[in-house]
Amino acid sequence: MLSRIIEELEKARGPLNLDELSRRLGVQRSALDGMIETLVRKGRLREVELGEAPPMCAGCAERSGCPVVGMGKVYEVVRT
Amino acid sequence: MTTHDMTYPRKGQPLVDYGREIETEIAKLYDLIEAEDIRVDHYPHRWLAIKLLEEDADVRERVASARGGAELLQAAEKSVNHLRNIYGDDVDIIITDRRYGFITGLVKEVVERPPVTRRILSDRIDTIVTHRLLGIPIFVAMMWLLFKVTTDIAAPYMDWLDEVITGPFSHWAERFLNLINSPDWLVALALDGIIAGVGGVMVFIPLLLFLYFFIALLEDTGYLARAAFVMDRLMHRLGLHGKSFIPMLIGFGCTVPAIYATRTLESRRDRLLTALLCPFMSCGARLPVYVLFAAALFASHQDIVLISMYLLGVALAILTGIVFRYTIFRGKPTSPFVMELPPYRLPTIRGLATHMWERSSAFIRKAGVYIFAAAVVVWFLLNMPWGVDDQRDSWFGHTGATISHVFEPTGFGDWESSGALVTGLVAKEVVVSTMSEIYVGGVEEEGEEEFPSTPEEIGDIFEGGARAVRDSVKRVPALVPGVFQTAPDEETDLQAALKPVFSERAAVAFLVFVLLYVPCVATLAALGQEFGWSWAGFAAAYYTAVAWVAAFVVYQGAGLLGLG
Repeated sequence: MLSRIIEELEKARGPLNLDELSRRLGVQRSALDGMIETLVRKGRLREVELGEAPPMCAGCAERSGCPVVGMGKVYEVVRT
Repeated sequence: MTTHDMTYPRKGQPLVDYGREIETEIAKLYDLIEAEDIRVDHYPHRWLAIKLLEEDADVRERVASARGGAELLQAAEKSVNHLRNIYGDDVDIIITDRRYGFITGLVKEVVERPPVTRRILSDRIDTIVTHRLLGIPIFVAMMWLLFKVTTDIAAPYMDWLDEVITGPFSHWAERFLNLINSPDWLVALALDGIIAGVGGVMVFIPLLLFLYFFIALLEDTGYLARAAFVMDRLMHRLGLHGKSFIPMLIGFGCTVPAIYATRTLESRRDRLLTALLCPFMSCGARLPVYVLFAAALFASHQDIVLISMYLLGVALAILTGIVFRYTIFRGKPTSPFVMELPPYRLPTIRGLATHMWERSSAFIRKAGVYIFAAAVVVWFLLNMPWGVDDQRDSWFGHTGATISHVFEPTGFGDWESSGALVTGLVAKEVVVSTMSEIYVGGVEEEGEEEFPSTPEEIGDIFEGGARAVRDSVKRVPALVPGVFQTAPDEETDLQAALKPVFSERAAVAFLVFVLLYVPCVATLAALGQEFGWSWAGFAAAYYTAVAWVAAFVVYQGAGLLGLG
């Protein structure tokens, strides 16, 4: 099942969202969350918080007004 | 099913079958544990064997301290290496994979779901707004609506603010400076330089307030994340990195943080390619230029002009991305990813107001520093050599006239536009403040103007404000086509001054040039700092060349087609 997640992502032409992936795999979204977590822990997927600002933004006066906040998360396949 | 049922029956069938190879290694370890009578916290033998194959750090530590543990760990290591050679993957991944396979199968067998699962509203909306074919048209329609609503509702407030700045505020500044016996040059600097220049940009504050309010609305509801997802799908197909959309989205606000945001990408190739595309996104600084020209020359189609500029920027970014990908940035394909979209939320008024104010105040701060400084410098350049009668003969005028030859084929080969474009290197809004200084501040007043009294002007400000509120509210139903029409917007002095100078096709070519030409110095500095000065130099040359060619094609192409 874990390998199917990576296979589906590789197969998809473009990014997927988690709901679409759970439909494709035929598993509940809650079950998929656990699987994604395992793959992140094992370093197969990289978790990127989209609202996360680069370190230099910490000192930026306009940080609070920056348009990218709470945009969700991305789990990216890690290629070795 | 109890926990007891799930423990390994020595001679029977295990509950979860991990496959022949893994089961063989589990059995080997099991037998060793049993033969050597290795006891670790009363853990079942099979469970212990599996955990050792999974290389569980805690269990390994406990086994190491048990009697016979060293031998068991050695055997486990051998088994792990053997399995890794067979599967070409970590054993714990294979074991977890089998476990999930078992769970999925078990759930399918014992859980009965209704044939049609009721889909929640959020899913239904997502099906439409992230649809492969409908997603992008919906996003474009949302953007068009955003600009339509923003420009229509903000226009009365912009007119009012322009009246306040060019009327009472200028009069009071002049009275005050005369009262303290200021020299004539200081009065001229304050009125024709600072107030005309900075004021010319400040007029756009209501527009930005509304724009940021509606952007915050899209963002807080969760739609912006969907839009990013939809746009990313397009970019991904074109070979751009999956996460490139984040910096590019930031680029709609300001290009400088967008370039720094490329640091979230792993490879230098992806970082550089994305950073080079960010300046094509129309930053907030370019909006006042678009709105000024759209209101002056395309009053009834302002929204179309605005959305066209934004979409042209995106289209050229994609085109450049494709060209670069097959030329200077050839490399491995991008990594696929899955995105977790945030849930839809009902935005709060407080949240929207906070976002709106934070972004608008950043613009006001910028106007107060960079645009103020640029306005002062431009005023001096327009008056040097000191006391020059005609601005055309000033240092600014001479420089603009020299450069203007380059822009003759693009339709704006006059010293005013050329000079304004040069000052736009500081920040793109400065194009507006410079034009305001030239076309509004540079106009000689004929005779002594009679100012109304201060109480009268205060009354006018409140009356104008009330009229702006009334006109703005009346425009809301007029947004629905065919309901009723509102009176056309009042023309500002600068808009009126631009009308005879620019033809429609020259205005569009000018806007295209402003969209594409070399970004502000802060952006070039960010590119230089992140990727080296040779890349910053390349970017400056590339953007300017693309801008000139695009403006040339627009102006000459429209001429050939008999437009504008």
